[in-house]
Amino acid sequence: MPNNDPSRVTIILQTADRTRKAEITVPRTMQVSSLISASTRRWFLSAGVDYQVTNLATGMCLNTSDSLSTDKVADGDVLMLQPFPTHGANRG
Amino acid sequence: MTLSPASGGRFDRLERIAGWDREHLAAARILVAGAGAIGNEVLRLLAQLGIGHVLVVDFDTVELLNLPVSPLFRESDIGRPKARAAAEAMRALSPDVSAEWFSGDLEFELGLGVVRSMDLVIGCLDSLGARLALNLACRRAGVPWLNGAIEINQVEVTHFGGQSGPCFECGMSAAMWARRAERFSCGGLRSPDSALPVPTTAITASLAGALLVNEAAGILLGGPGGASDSLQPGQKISLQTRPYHSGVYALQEQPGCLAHELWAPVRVIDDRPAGLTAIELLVRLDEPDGQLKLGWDLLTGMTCSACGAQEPMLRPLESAPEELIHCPACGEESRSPVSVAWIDRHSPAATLSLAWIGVPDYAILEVAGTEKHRVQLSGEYRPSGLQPDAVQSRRCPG
Repeated sequence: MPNNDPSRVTIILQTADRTRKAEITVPRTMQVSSLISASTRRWFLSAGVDYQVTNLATGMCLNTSDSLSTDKVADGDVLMLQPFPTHGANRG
Repeated sequence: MTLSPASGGRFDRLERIAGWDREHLAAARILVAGAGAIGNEVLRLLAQLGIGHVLVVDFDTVELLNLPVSPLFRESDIGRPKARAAAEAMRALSPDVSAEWFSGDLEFELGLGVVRSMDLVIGCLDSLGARLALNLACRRAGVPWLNGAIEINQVEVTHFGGQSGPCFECGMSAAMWARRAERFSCGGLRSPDSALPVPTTAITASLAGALLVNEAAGILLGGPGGASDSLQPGQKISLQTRPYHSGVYALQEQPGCLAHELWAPVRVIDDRPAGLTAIELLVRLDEPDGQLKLGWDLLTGMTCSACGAQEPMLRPLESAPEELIHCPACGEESRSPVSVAWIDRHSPAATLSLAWIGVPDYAILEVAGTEKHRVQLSGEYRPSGLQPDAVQSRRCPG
């Protein structure tokens, strides 16, 4: 759907394992951390895991404390949601 | 093109690779932090490639569950320090390799001067807290480091510059800080480690190890920024194995990041912590009224709010277990820690040797007085400079 509201941005959000994918329109002021919280809840992703978001269009990792506009997320960008790995092998 | 006949030497195939400067790689000083699954793969490859004077650091011992993901360990190694078993296995693989080991806590028992002497640090760690500590040490020492991390089907390798660009802490989210805080009680004592072994295989560890060593070679051969086709500082490679997906991504620098602090210049003195007190150091620097900043919180005692009993003790606060809240005098769990972050000439700890209060060899200490000083103890670190029993011998009783 074309997005005619300049205060909102339409993006494609997908998980790195491609099991979840959605086109969503959200406020440009939305914090990346809120996007992560909403999508992990909505998609029933593992709790107790830290997530990160990468903009595949720009190759930039988004700061969780930034808004989408601060990180220059544009209409049509594909954002990838994936766990932030902190494991070696033995302990979390 | 004519290829020279095979020399029959161990590294003959490597020397045929254009640009492979084996002597340069062999002379590099590399600290490998963590000798678990990823660390094993990294150390195996460094040995087989003849790279570096390697110092292996790990506080843990080998367990049975390590064997399926650790190619350097054998059943006969169970119960032995991982760092020692790994270093010895490296030398068995490649006798030319210089491999040392240090069995101790990276955060509290390895002096920053050791990190400062390195050309590169490779992080093969398994916790957020250890990565934060290594990141801070490398940033203070101005040494680049590579961070390897895995999930079940995911591998990430990140190159962090030593003195500029984004660091590991820049990428910490509020949720990650909250998870980090869960490891400590309100007073700063360390909560019991309840983390379970994570599901993984040697496959992702092997991929991570290979990528880490590939990047290490690129950095060492390419100078400060690394080879042009290697990861640049502030970049990471992310590899997903199910389904396959990979990419190189850029991290963002947080301008206000508190970890961006280069400790330089550093004055090096030969005195060891075991033979020097805080007062003696302050006088030596002509700062008798100065403050010695330890760089960590020093637990000086526990006080019981129920019975009032006080027990003096001296150890880094974050290494002190939560069980210390139990009061042996009244039996209540009502003791609180008392800690300080600095020592002056009036402090009770000022007349004790620095080793007694937990300062390791090659530590770099800050002294704030009429001016700011940064002093490295024990001289410059040289390979073979760490005594295997040094950690045990400097721990204070109780």
